[in-house]
Amino acid sequence: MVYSLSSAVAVLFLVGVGALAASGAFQSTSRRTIPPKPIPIRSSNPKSLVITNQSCSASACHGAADSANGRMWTCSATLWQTADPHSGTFSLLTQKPNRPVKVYAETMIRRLGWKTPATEEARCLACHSDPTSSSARAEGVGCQTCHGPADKWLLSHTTGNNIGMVALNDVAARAQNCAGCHIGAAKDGFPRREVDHDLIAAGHPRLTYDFAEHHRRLPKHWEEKVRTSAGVRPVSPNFELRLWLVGLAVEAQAASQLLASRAASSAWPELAEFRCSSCHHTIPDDNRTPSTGSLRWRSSWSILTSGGRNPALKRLFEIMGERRPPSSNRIGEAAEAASVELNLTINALSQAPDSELRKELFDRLGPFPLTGVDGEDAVPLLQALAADERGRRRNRPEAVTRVGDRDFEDAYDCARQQNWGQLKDRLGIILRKLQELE
Amino acid sequence: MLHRIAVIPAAAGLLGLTLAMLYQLASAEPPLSTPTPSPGPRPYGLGEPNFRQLTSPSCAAASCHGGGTVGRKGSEHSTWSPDLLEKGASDPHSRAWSVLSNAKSERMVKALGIEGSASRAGLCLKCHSLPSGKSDHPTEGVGCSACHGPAERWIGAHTGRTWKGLSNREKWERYGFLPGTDLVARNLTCTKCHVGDAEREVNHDLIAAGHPRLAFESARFHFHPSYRKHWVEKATPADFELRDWFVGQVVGWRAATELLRARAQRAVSAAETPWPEFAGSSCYSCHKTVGPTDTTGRAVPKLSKPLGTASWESWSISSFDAVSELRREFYPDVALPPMKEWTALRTLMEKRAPEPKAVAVQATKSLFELDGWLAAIQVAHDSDRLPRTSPELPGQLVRALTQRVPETGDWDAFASAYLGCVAGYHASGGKARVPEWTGPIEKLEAELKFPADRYGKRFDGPADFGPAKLERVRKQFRLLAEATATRRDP
Repeated sequence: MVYSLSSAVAVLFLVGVGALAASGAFQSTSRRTIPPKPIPIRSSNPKSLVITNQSCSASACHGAADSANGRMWTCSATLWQTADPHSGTFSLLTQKPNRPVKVYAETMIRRLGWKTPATEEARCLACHSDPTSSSARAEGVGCQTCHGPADKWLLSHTTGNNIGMVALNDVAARAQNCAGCHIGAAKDGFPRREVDHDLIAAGHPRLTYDFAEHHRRLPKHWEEKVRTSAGVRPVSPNFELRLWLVGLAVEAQAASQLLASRAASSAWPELAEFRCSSCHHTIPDDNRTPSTGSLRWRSSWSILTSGGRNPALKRLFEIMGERRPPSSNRIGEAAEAASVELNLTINALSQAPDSELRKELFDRLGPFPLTGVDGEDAVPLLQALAADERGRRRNRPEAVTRVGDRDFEDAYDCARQQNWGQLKDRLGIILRKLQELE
Repeated sequence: MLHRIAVIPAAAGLLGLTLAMLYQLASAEPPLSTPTPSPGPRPYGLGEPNFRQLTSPSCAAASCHGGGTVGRKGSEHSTWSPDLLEKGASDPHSRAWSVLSNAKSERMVKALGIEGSASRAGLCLKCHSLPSGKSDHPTEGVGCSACHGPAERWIGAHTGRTWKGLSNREKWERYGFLPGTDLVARNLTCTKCHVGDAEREVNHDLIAAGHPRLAFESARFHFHPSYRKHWVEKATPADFELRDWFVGQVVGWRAATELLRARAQRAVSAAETPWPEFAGSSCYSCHKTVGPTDTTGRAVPKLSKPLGTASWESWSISSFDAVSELRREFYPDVALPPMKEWTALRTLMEKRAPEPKAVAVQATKSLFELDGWLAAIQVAHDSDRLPRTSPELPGQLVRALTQRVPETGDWDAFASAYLGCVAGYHASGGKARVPEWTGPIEKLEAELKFPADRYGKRFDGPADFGPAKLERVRKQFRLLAEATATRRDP
């Protein structure tokens, strides 16, 4: 009994540590088990504060005219408002869009036979703005859409304590955030966010999306950094590559979940899940090469299945590539399985050390047959290689590289001209040169 | 004594009971309508009678129908089959089996994963010959029995004196002879292969593998330049063109409906049957370039179907309104059924993803409706009181078709309307009699023809169909309508 109290404390302490360890509190990034959901802009508490962008844009907060002492966060809101395309997404629903459009939103509404104007139609607002609040609509995809409902963190974040904010410093969380609109998300208390074939037929652009490339082109209202317990440090030169790898896996997961939810709905087959060119091609002459008449899944992430990885995803590709749109229950099961399997991929790629990222890319590229590749697969590959190249040069700008700008430019030209045969050749050249450098 | 006394109340009770029952019967509610509609009158020529097919050597005896003088009565088989000595026209049905050995068929069976040659594949022989198992002689192609009916019963009877006295219906039902003089029965046989039925179809898998798409137009098929006919039509050319067009359209709808029903039933019963069947829609509603030159999205307020869906069978059914408008000119004594079920079927098929079960049910009801109409038309044919078609009718036909030319670039609808106009044109006497129609007709043919690519190979579709071409096509239809309005009276 002499040591009963201390031993009890010791035991309790050990138990507590063990519990914390089991809950993963000691890992550097959180576990990726939550599928992409629409980020609710309003919390479900009706008494919560109504906070709009204007609140964030106070000049003493994030709305300064210029960064003070080089701290970009002081003018984040200003940067976003002026440069970020997400600030204008609501205007695209009006008759005065902030950039030229081919088909106006009202025309689409008329063609679809919908009754509400685009600026009030929940299905449009689900991506182009906040469907639940009419006051915040004109902000477009505002601060809270990405950073999370502000009433959770509005007061706490001023002390630097970001509990409650969406952890956007985590690449996977960032990618999932974007994927909710740019790929689509199932109904989750909100209208399903998707651009389906009816919408495309009415004139909506189809969603072509590559997380890393969209990210690269987005005018940034933040400074990219890595937060550690010791402070902040700049991101590694391979950060773009990580964005590409993780982004691809997140896209695949979001697409699989959207596919599962579409298959479960009554209007299957959803034609927008298939490559546009599967149907929309003119038929060449009468003596055409026989085809199987099969469709292919509209995707750009088949490289994730190379070398035997992600068999459930590969199975999904096969099912979607069958001669006819497969039945909805087979799709549902396969898509669910692929999505769950991708959790591990996303985790692994998020947590891979920086030095391993190139290996992750080239291990996948190695066994990947370029022969079956068409534009939808080839262009993201090109962007991956470009991201890798930019990383390499930043890392060792003095290094002599045999892969020059010319090689990439040629490849991009082929992509612009939709010359997929040539693009494959160019990709092959770049890959060979990169592998020779290894 | 007691039993006598007991009889009276017993009788009274019995009488009362009987009266009560009678009263109840008299005042009973009418029985509930049956859940499945009962088929009404059906035209003869439907289906396949269960008699044995005899092959063409049996018909082609020299003293029967193989006389050797092409074009003469008694030499029908010699007219039908290709000449031994010179290459000339014949009946294309005689070549139906031999095309299964050409290079394209070989590529097709490879693409479809069929073992062996197409000339032995049941899938192909169902249309390209008498189906295996029913004939020992597939190499004759689509032989005599395929159109005239299985000859087992009528081979003897048709030489007898009483044969001509039999009614058409009797010939079919008792003897299995298809009376080809009746246009409804004739077209019912044609569409079994040229559109499809419960056992035969050309679906999208076959088309992807290389099979030409099926686009049946009875009048134009009859007058195809390479078709050497082994009979002489009894009707005048004008009458024949018009009536065959009309009947061909209605029978085409019927065949398309039966095909749809078969496909829907298969989709219900077999899990991995493709549904919706792509070949049931216009090919070019999907197989086109999309983007600024696409014509579909523009005239949208008039579209009844949702955007982004392909229309069902626009080749076959786009003539519906014109046919309905003109039915009294063609068959004044035949009442048009209300066509409620048919309209409901079309509405159902315009939805994005119609349930196969509902489609099968609705298609069955539509078939009964259409069959009733076709049977009535047959009665009109068989009576001797059917008047000649009026000389105004070709112009009316052209005007009816051109008024309903679609707003959107549906090539199938345009082409089928054009072919109807051609039927009217030829019924009017063609270039000799109505030269003012010739210009628009020829221009329409040029516009609707599939273009060639820069290497001179013809596309297998209207690859260059855009707003400019759409405008030109519509203009030519308008000019044609104006030309018919100014037609001189004969």
